[in-house]
Amino acid sequence: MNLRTFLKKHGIVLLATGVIAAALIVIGCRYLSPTRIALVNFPAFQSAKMIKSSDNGFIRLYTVETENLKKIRRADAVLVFGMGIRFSDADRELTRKVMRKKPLHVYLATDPQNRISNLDSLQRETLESYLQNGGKQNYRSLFSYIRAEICGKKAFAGEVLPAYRTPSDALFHIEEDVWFTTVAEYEKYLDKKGLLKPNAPKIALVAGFAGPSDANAAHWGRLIEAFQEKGFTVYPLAGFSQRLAFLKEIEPDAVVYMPHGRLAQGMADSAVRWLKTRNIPMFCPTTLNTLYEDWMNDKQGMAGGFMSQSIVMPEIDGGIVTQALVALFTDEEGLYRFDIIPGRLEQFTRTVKNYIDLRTKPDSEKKIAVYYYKGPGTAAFTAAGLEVIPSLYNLLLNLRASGYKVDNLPSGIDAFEEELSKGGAVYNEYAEGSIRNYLENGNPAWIAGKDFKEMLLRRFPTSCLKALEERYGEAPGSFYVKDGNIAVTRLQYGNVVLLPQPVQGIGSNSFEAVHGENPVPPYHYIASYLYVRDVFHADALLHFGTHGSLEFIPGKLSALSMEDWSDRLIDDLPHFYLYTTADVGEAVIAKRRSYADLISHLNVPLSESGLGKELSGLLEDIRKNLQSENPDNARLREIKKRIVEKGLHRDLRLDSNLNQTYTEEELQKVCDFAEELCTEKITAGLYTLGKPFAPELAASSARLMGETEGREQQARYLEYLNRCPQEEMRALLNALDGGFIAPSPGGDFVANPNVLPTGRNLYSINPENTPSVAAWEKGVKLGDELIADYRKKHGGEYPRKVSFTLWSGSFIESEGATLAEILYLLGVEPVRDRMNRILDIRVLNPEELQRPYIDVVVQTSGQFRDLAASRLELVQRAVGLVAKVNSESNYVAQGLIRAEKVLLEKGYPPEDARRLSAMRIFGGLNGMAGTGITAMAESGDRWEEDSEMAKVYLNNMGAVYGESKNWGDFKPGVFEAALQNTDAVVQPRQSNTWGALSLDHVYEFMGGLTMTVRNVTGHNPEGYFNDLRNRNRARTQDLQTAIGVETRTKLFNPVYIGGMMRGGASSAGELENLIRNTYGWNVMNPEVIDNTVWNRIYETYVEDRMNLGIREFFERESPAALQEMTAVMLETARKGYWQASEEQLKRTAELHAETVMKYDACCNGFTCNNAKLRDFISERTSNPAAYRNKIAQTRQIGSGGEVQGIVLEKENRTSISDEGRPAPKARHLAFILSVLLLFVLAVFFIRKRRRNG
Amino acid sequence: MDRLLSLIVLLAFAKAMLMSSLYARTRQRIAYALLCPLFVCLCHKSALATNSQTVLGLFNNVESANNLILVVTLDLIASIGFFTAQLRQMSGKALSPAARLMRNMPCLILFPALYYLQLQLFNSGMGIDFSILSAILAVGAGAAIYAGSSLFIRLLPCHEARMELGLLVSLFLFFSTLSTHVLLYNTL
Repeated sequence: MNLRTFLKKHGIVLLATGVIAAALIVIGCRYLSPTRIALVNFPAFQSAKMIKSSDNGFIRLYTVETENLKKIRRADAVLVFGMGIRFSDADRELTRKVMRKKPLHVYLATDPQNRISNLDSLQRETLESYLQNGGKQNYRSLFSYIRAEICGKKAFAGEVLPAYRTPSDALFHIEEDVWFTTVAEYEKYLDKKGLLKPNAPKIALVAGFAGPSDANAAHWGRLIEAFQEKGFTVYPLAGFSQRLAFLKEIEPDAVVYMPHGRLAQGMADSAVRWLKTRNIPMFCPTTLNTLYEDWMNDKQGMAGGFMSQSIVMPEIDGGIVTQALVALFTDEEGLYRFDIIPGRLEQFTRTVKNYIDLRTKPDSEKKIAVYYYKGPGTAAFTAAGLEVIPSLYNLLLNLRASGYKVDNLPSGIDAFEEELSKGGAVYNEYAEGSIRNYLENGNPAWIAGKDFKEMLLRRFPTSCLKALEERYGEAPGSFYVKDGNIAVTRLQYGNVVLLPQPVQGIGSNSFEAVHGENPVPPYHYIASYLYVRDVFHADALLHFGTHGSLEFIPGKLSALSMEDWSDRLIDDLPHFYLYTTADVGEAVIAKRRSYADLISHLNVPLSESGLGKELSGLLEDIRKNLQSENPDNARLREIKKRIVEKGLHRDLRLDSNLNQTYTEEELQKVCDFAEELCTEKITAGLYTLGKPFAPELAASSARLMGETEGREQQARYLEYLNRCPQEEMRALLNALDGGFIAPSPGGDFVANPNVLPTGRNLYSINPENTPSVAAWEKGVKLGDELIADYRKKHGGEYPRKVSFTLWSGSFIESEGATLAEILYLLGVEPVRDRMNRILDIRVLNPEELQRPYIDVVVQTSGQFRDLAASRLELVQRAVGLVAKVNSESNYVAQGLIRAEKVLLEKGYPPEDARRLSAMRIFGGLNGMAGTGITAMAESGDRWEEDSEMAKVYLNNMGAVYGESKNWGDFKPGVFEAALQNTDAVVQPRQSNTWGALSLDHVYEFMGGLTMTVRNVTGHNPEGYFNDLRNRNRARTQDLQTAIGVETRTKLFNPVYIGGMMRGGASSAGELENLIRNTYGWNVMNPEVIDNTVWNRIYETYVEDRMNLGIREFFERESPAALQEMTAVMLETARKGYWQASEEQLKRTAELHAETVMKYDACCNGFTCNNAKLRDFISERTSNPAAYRNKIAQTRQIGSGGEVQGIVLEKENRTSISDEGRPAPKARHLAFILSVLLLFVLAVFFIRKRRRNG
Repeated sequence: MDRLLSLIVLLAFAKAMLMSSLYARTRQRIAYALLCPLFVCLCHKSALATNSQTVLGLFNNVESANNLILVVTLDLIASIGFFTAQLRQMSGKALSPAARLMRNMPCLILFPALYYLQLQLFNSGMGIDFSILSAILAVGAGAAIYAGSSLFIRLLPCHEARMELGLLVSLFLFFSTLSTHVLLYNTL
C-alpha cells in the first residue's frame, strides 16, 4: 500500500487524532500545566519562606532581581515587592508589555509610579491579605489562589483557604503560627509548659524585621530557649501599634529590641519616658540582611539606610549593645534562612544576663574595672575637658558612699595622685629602663604565661591568634614580660580596680601606640582586658573619659564580627563609657565599636576672652574713623601705629608701613578681628567630675549659653549646669546597677543647650537624611563665602579644587553642613521627598549654576567614615555625575583629566588610570582613625624636609573610600593625583571647646593636608575653617585669622592661662598641648606661625613676664608638662622654625634640664625619643653629662625603637620617567630627520628615473 | 626613545602601504586594510591594561632593544622574500608554492606599530572614551593603508619602482632601528 492509498483509507482518522491531540495539548497547557510565579524583589528571607511554604508541584516559584527583570517573561504570573524598588523607564516598559498577557501585581509600592497592577480590586485585596498576614498557610493559599483564580488553572491548584489573620500585635513562642493576643493568655501557655517562673527576670523580646511570620522562625526559637536557659521568662512580641502597651503590661526587666526604626513610632518620646521611669535597659542586637560569609568579608559591617534603621534609630531611644546577632545563611536547597551567628547566641544572652545581674547583685559585692587614659611616660592623665585625677578620686568616693567596697583609698587627692603616678604609669617601648623598674618595684598583677595562652585560646578565634603571633611572636611576647609571665598595670582598691589603658601599638611611634593605627594590639594590651575578665572577674567595665583606643582598633565600622578585636576584648561584659558631651562624633564610635553604654559629662566651662579691656579703645577709634566722612590722616596713622604695636597686622596679613594709612576695607578687617577677639569664647579650666563649676564660671557659661535668650533662660541654664555633676554621678551609679541611661544629643553646651542635663547616653543623627534642609542652607552660604573670599584674594579666579576634611562631630552637630557645601561646590543639589529625606542628587545645568563646577577632594577621619559611609559614597557619586557635564568651566572634568595624566605617568594602565582618576574620597589605611603624621612631625630627628612627611601622609591617608566595592583599597599615587590643582583646604569646627591650636587633630588633618597639597602642587593652598559654632550664623574663617584669634585668646591670654592654672596636672597638660600644637602648625604650614609667636611663648612661659607663677604651677602640678613644653620649644628652634637668640635657647634649655634633674625624665616623645634634640639641649646646659645620664637611666640606651613613621611598604611600581630613561638628544632628532629626508629623496629619484626610463 | 619609535611606526606604515600596493588584486589591498581595524579591535582590551610608559621602559635595556632588532631583522628577511617573489612573478618565472605564499604575504611589522599607536592614543587621549579612540584608530589605519597604497600606485605607477622603494624602506627601517640601538647603547 502506497502512501496515497493509506492516506485515502485512514486520512480522516489521522486528522481527527491530530486535532484531538492538539486540543489536548492546548487544554493541557492552558489548564493543567504548572504555574510559574515570578517573585520580584522580595527580601531573600521572605521569598525563601514562600518557596518553602509551597508544597504543590504544579506551582513553581522563582525569584527575580530587578537587574534581571527580563526573566519575568517566563512567568505565568508576576508578584513584585514594591518597597524601595527602583524601576527604570525600561523596566516599566517591560512590565507594561508583560501585563498585556500575564497577571502582574506590585505589592507595597513606596513610589506612586510603581503602583502597577492589572488585577481587579477583589483579586488585589485577596492577594494582599495573604501577603500581609504571611505564614506558611497563607503563602500556600496565595499561590493556589493565583493558579486557580488569577491564572484560571483550577486543576491541581490546591486548597484556597481564606487568609489566616495573623494578629497584628501578639506574643508568640517557639511553635510556629501560634499567637497570643494578651499577656495573660501567653502566661497561661507558659505556665502550662512549666516555663513561667514567678521570680525570674522578664525579657521582652521584640521581633520586627524578619519576624516569625515573614521569615523562617527557627532562630527565634533558639533565642527564646537560650534566654530561658539563662533563667529568664521570655515574652517574644511581634507587632507595631500595640508594642508599647504590651511592654507596659509585661513590665520587663530588660527589652531586647530587634525591629527597624524607633521603639514606638508616633509616640517615641513616651516610649523613652517609659524606659526611663521604669529604668529598663534596652538591648538592640541587629539582624543582617546579608549572607554570613559576605558580612564576614565586608569591611563595613553594616552601612547606609539599613544601618540607620538597625542601629541609629534604636540608639535615639537609648538602645545599647547593637551587636550583630542574626545573619542570612543558605540551606541545603540553596534557599536563604535566618540564623544566629555562630558564637553570638551565648555572647549576647550572657551580655544581657550580666547587665540584669547588676540589678540584683549587692553593690558591696560588685567588682568594677575602671580604665583611665594617659600618654606614654609620666605625662598627665588625659580625658578631653576633664581634670582626671580629682575626677577619678570623686568617682571612687561616690562608689564607696554608695556601698561599693573601695578599700585603702588614700585620704587626699595628692596622695592618690602620687599613688596613681607611681603605680599606674604607661611606658612606651623605648623607655625600657622605666619598664624594668616598674616590673620590679611597681607591684603589677602577673598572669602566668601558660594561663595567658589558655585565656587567649578561649577568648580569641584562630585568625586573631595567628595575627598576634605573626606580629609579636609567641605569647606572651616580650613587652611587659618577665620570666615568661606578663604584667598588667593596675591599682586595686577593694572591689574596684583602676587600670591605665596600655599602649596599643608597640614600636617607637608613640602616636601609633595610642590612637589605633596598628591593627593588632600587643599582648600587653590584651592581657590587661583578659585580667579584668578572667582574673579580677569584673562585673562591669568603665572607660573613664574621652577617649581611649579600644574602639579605634581597626575592624568593621559597625555590626562587628567575632574577629574584631574590640568585640573580643569586651565580649559579654557590661561596658560603660564616661564621655564628654562635646564629642558626640567619637562617642558614637565607642558605642558601636565597643558596645558601650555612654554617660555624658559636662564639657569645660566657658567664659569670655577678657580681651575687651585691651582692645576696646582701639576698637572705638577704628569705628569712629569708619563712620567719619572725612577721616583725619594723622588719626589714621596713629591707629595704624597702635595696630602694628599690638601685632594685629600680622594675623591679618596687613602691611606695617607706618607712613601709609590703612584703607577703609583694611580697617574694617581689623575691626572685625578685634571684635572677634573680644567676644571669643574660651575654655576656662577643666571640669572635675562630681564637682560643679566654680560660681563665676558657671555664671559665665550660662551667660554664653543664653546670649540671645535673656536672663530668665540664663538662670535656667545655670540651674541645669549646677545640677549636672549630681546627675552624672547618679547616672553612673544607675548604669552600674543595670539601669537605663536616657538618650541625649551631643555637642558642647553653649552650641547646643539641649545636651543638658548631662549623665545621658549620647546618640547620633541619621546620616541618610543629611544634609538636612537647614544644613543645606548653611552649606550654600559657606560655599558662597569661600568662593567670594578666594576670588577676592586671587584676582577673580575661582578655586579649581577644594579639599575638605570631614569629622564626625561637626557632621552630627551641623547635620551635614560641610557635606552640603561639598555638594554645592560640585554643582549638585539633593532631591528630597515630602518628608525632606534625600532620595537622590541632581546636577545643576550650567545656566542654573552660573559659575564653574568646582572639583573637591574629601579626606575623611576614621570616625566620619565609620559613621556615615553612605554620605561618602554620595559625594563620590556626585563627582561621577558632574564629570559628565559638558561645560567649559567644569573643573571636575578637568580635574579628572589632570589626575588621569598623573596616574598614567605613574605607570597605571589607561583603564585603571581613568577609573582611579575619579576617586575623591580618601582616608586612613587599614581602617585606622588618625593620619599617623603627628608622631612623625613630633619626631623631628627623623625627617629633614617636609616632603618626607608629605610622602608618609599620602601613604597613610591614601586609602580610597568612595565605593563600597573597593572600600579602603590602597593604590599608590591615587591620592596624589586627586590632590592636583587643589587651591583651598577646608576644615569644619563646631565646638567651642577646641580650636586650631588646642586640638592636635586640627594640625594633623588640616595641617597635614595643607603640607601635602603644597608638596604636590608646589603652592600653599588657602586654608579655611567652616565655623559652625554658632548654629544661627555659620561662616567661613581663614586659617591665619583663626590661629591669630587662638594665640591671642588662649596662648598669651592671662585670663585663659589663669583659668588653667586653677586646675591640676591635666590643665598643665592642656597648656603644654597648646605649645606642642603650635609647633605642629609650624611644621605643616610655616606661614601661619611666625617668629614673634615663639618669642612671645618664651616671654610668657619661660620668662613669665606676666608674673603668673608659671614655673611654680608646673612644678607643683606637672613637671612633666613643663619638661615637654620646653623640649618642644627647643625642638622648634633646632628645626629652624624659631629664630631664637642664644640667650633664649640657653635659658630654655637650662629650665628643661633642671626639671629633668629634679623630677626625672618624663620620657614621652620629645624628651626621650629624639637623639638630635638631646644633643642640642646638652650643648646648651651647664651640666651636659648629668643631663645625658639622667635621660639614659630612663631610656637604657640601646633599646631599639628609632624607627620611621608608619609608611606602607610601597608597591613596586616604578614610573619609567623616574629611572633609566635616556634624555632625548639632539642627535636623535637629527637622525630622524635624516631618515625622513632620505625617504623623500628616494621617492623623488626613483620616480624621476622611471620617468626618464 | 618615543621619537625613535614614532619614526619606526611611520616607516612601518610606509612599508605596509608600499607592500600593499604591490598586490595583484584590489580586493587583496582591501582585505589587508581591513585587517588593521580587526587587529585594533582585538587589541583593545589588552591595550587598555597596558601603560605606554611600561612599554617604553621595555626598550630601556639592551636586552629588549636586542629583541626589537631581532623582530625588525626577521621582518627584513620576510620582506626580502616578498620582494623576491614579486620579482620572480614580474619576470614571468614559475613560482614555487612557498614563493606564491611569500608573494601575498602582508607587511607584519605594521601590527606591532598599530598596537604601539593604540597605546599612545589611550595614554594621551585623557577624558575621551577609549572605544572612540580605538574606533578612530581602526578606521584611520585601515583607510590610511588603503589610501596610501593607492597613492603610491598613482605616484609610482611602475611596479618595479614601488618594489625598489619598498625594499629601500625596509632597509631604512632596519638601519634606523639598528642605529637607534647604537645611539642609545653604543653597542656594536
